[in-house]
Amino acid sequence: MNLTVQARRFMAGLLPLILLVGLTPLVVTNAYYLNVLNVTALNVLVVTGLNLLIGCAGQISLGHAAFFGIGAYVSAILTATYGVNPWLALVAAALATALCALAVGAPTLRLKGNYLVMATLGFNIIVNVLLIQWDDLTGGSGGLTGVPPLVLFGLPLDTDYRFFWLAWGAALIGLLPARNLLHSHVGRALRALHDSPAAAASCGVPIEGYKIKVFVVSAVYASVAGSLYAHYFGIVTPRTFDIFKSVELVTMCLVGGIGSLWGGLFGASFLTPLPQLLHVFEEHQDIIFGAVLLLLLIFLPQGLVGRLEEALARRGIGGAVMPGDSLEERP
Amino acid sequence: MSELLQVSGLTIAYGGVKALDGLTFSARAGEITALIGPNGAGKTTAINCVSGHTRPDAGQVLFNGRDILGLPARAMTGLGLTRTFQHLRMFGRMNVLENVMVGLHGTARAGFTAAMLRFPSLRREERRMAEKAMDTLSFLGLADLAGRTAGALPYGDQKRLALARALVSEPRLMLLDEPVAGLNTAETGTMGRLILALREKGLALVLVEHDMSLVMRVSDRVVVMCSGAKIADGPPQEVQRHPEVVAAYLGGGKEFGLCA
Ligand SMILES: Nc1ncnc2c1ncn2[C@@H]1O[C@H](COP(=O)(O)OP(=O)(O)OP(=O)(O)O)[C@@H](O)[C@H]1O
Ligand SMILES: [Mg+2]
Repeated sequence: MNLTVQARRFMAGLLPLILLVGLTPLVVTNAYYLNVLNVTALNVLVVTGLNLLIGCAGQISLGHAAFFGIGAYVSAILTATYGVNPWLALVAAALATALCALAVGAPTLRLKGNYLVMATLGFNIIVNVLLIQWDDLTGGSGGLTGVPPLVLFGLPLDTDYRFFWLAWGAALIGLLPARNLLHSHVGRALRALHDSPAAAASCGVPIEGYKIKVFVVSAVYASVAGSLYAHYFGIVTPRTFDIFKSVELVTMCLVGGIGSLWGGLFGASFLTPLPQLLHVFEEHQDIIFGAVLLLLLIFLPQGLVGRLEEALARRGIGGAVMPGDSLEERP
Repeated sequence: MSELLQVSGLTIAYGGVKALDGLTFSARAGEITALIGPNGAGKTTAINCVSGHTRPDAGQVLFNGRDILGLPARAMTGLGLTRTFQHLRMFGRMNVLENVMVGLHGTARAGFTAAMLRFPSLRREERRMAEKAMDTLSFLGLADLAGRTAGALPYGDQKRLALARALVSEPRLMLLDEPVAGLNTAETGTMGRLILALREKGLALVLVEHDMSLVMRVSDRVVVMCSGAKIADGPPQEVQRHPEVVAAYLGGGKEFGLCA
């Protein structure tokens, strides 16, 4: 049936991706490039969660850098200052982030209208100020150093090469629960409440509860990525988690194609390395970065993946080659 | 036969306008109760109050003897009460099957965690929902369209899809807000037959419609509304002869004019 077809298409897309990721470190050995790829993987993880919120439930968050940051800082503080086991710290950070998301989401998502944008924006600013001001705990604007690396099977993941496997493993594994959610009654309900809250309610969908839950889930994705980030770099600074990072994350969703998990993956994979590539333009790089974004959103409003699927469908190739997992089923 | 739905004294005002003014009516299992009246009479508002989308200022709604006023809209399908909307409200980006499966959301037990980890219980549930939804689509002659994007369907098919979404959970009472509005004669005929088939199944149906020939053909009882209040109530033949209703018909047209 239709639903298992979707599942098969997703797996068909995942396998080449796993292969690609698996082969990359054989080709890319330069530490700098590996570093960019690792950051890309962490962004993929955040964007996967964010995509559930934006693409599915139609709610925009401009505070995901804060959740990313809370994950990073809780992990950093617990391990660097208090010597807690990093994996335990990661779980604790995820719980703390979930509570924060609940505190932000529960009151605002009950309101009609898009108050989440403002609430999350405000939240991000507050978190950023706290990270700077609460310097006994956070190290202030200089940040917190001495965060130990993660250790997996007795192996400290303290090189770009070693961390590559964890980061991309997490990014790819992170796609699965998101995909599962999309293709379940919960995912359908989220899309339904986006299209028509009244009709969704009539179908028995607990609208507020679902919006809050998907918001919390997306925040936890960001938190896990943040924890990994802290252990990878060994240092966390407030600037990494400011509102510009939040905007960047939302942009990755938009550029890739909203509501498609592949879209998020491509968006993050395209936009993370882009500033590095634009370094050759020196002082013009920000302008060119902005111009690229503008052009993309003007000419590919449905995002990279959305556009590709459309082009393939027009040639009758459909989702067979391009493993589309877009929410927008095309006839 | 006993009343499955008893609505009494529904009153609600928007600003100075009384959208409902002490509306009282009832609906029985195996019967079609039509709710008619000119534009702005309050028909949709009445349905909204019963379905939990609007909270009236005063009144009572008993469903199967139980007071359901104040319950949220999402609780209704679980009780066996569903509705369609005057303005479709399809989930346009989903396919037809998925749309109908959303109609079964109230029967799903698995939560977020089970869904994200795809527990076996969830997979069973998904299969059950897909099968049930396909049955309903077949019943309404939409099975061939299961994989099509709902928003891209012709209007007539979307109207039937809206019916499917409300029907799939096997409700005891369905509130239909203008199910044939915008349909051509053939489509109206099909929809009329489907509605009668639901009546045969023993459902209670509240039918809001402007199409008088359909109303007079299928209804067991007709409730005539005007400015939020009931002005007539009875079998179609009787209501047709009611002086106020006759007065309200302008030249025996298919549509009401201003009411008395
Ligand atoms: N949310 C609202 N806010 C303000 N006024 C409203 C609202 N809902 C309904 N009304 C008013 O209540 C009255 C009844 O509207 P309602 O939609 O119930 O009429 P109706 O009988 O369904 O008409 P139609 O046949 O055109 O669908 C109208 O005057 C309408 O303007
Ligand atoms: Mg109406």
